[in-house]
Amino acid sequence: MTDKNGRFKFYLGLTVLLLVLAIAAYSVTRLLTQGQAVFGSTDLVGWNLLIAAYVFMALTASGLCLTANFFEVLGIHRFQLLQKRSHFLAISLLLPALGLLSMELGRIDRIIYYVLSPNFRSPMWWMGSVYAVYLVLLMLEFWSIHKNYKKMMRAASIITLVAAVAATSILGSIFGMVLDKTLWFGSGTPVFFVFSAIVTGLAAMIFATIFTYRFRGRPMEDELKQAIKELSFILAVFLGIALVFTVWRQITVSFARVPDASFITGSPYGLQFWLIYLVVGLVIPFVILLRNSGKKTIGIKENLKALAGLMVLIGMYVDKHIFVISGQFNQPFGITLGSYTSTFAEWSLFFGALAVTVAIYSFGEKKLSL
Amino acid sequence: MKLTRRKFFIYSGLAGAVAFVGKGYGLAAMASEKPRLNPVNSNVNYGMFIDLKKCIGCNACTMACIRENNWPEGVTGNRVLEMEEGLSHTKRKYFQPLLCMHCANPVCANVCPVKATYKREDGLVVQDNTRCIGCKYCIQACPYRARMFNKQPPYAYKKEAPEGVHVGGTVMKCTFCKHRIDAGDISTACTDWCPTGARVFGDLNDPNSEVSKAIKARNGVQLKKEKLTEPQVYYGLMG
Repeated sequence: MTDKNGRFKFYLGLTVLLLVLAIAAYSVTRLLTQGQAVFGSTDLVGWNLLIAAYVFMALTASGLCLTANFFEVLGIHRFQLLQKRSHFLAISLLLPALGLLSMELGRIDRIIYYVLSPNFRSPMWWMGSVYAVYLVLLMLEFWSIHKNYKKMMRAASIITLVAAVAATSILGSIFGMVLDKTLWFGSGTPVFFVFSAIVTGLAAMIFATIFTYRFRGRPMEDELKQAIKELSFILAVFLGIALVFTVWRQITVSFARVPDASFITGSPYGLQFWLIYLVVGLVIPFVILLRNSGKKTIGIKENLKALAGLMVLIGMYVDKHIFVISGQFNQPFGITLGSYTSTFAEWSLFFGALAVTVAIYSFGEKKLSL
Repeated sequence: MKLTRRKFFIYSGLAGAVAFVGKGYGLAAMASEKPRLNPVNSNVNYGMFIDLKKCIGCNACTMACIRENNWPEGVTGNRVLEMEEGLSHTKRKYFQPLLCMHCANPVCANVCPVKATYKREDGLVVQDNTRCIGCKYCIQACPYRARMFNKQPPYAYKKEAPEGVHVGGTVMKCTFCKHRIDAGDISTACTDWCPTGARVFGDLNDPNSEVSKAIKARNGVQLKKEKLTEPQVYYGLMG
């Protein structure tokens, strides 16, 4: 890659990033001056795209740390070369995710009451607190990796792994403990969130690593290629499990004639569920990555693996969006079914958060030898 | 920087002092009730009975609520649903007022991360809008859709309320006219304005109160008992 080509890519990327951030900043201004009337949420559908986006980004951040630390704790050191990048990407995702969540709160200035007036019975209190602690632990662990403090790395990887599982499952319990919402309620929801975090984390790890090397025009080392190949196979296995879960879920809700299930498979989210989540997010990446599992050492090209990772990420976001929104549609007493249309402000804030992720990650890639 | 024993003790002492002072402020902040003319009566349990046979769907209760509480635009603590019952050839319409049930087991209070909503000793489920962070978890948890979110600008909007001000970015709901009860007037605006006497408000702990008698006479039922919230608003069905 020539220097001129590199500079062009850099300035193009920077321009796009600044444009997205500027639009997001404009939406923040509108939010503060006009209130949440700029969002599409209503009293019947109170949680909107920002909550779905937060869940997606938080799960991805947890999943990155979960998978990287899991191998480390088990003593599988050949994935260590991905550990630093995974942790920094997790931080890059979690910080703007928490910022996105604060945009959804009506009165962020009163967050001090989290400390002054805590309700220990509330899953949301635990989610906020554990994610805050988890973020600090993540930063400490990254610092120990960066400084190569081996003993601290080992201890931190165990503690952060536990924190990642706790944070992710508590996030799932926010939904799982709402008895009134049939599509959310249940002890399986927190477990499903942990599983989803692992899938999303693996996909993010594969996509981010390959994309970074391609963007910078650097060749990948053989050990890194081998690690990516193995992770791709593991992701393929998890996608297979996700497909089985999805099939069984549809069978059980159809058998029991759960009325809310039609919001996912029929109207209004049928197209998104069948096409984007199932086909694009699960089936196609599963097929692509499974081809990589042959005995021959020649795997599929890295670009295809990155594409599969990106498709999984898109599918997982759509899954979270459908989960959060459709769970709120059903109403009691014959009240008209809830409906929801996301607004420009919501999308611009989501893309703004992703732009911040890219900006932080790019800084780390350039300055911290990820 | 080497951590000496002297520095360790100084830092520990400072941390302890901060924690002690912080806890003091925390305890003070937790006492969120403002001074009332009358103290909270823990011997009573306020509730309501609504006779669906008498409700004519005039929405006088809705207007009364809006006027009494000076709710922001788009918010009301009470609304009236148009319902239908019976088979296709015998269907009949009726009206069902819907408001906060002030449940004995309020799920909204369980899920609120900052205790902005809580159950008071006299049975009222209170919404403290000086503390609400607007997370809307209580809206998700409430099985009765009794809560509403004030979408007005969070920092610029203020509207006079019976107690304090209504602010943007917070959740609102029926208060059982808490300001009246705290002032010694045991009544609600919706009950006063109802032209047919479909609503009765009072102490559920007193078997001789009008509300207890009405519940007994009309076999008052609670809505959505399966949600385990134990609502304190009873309904006399069309029967």
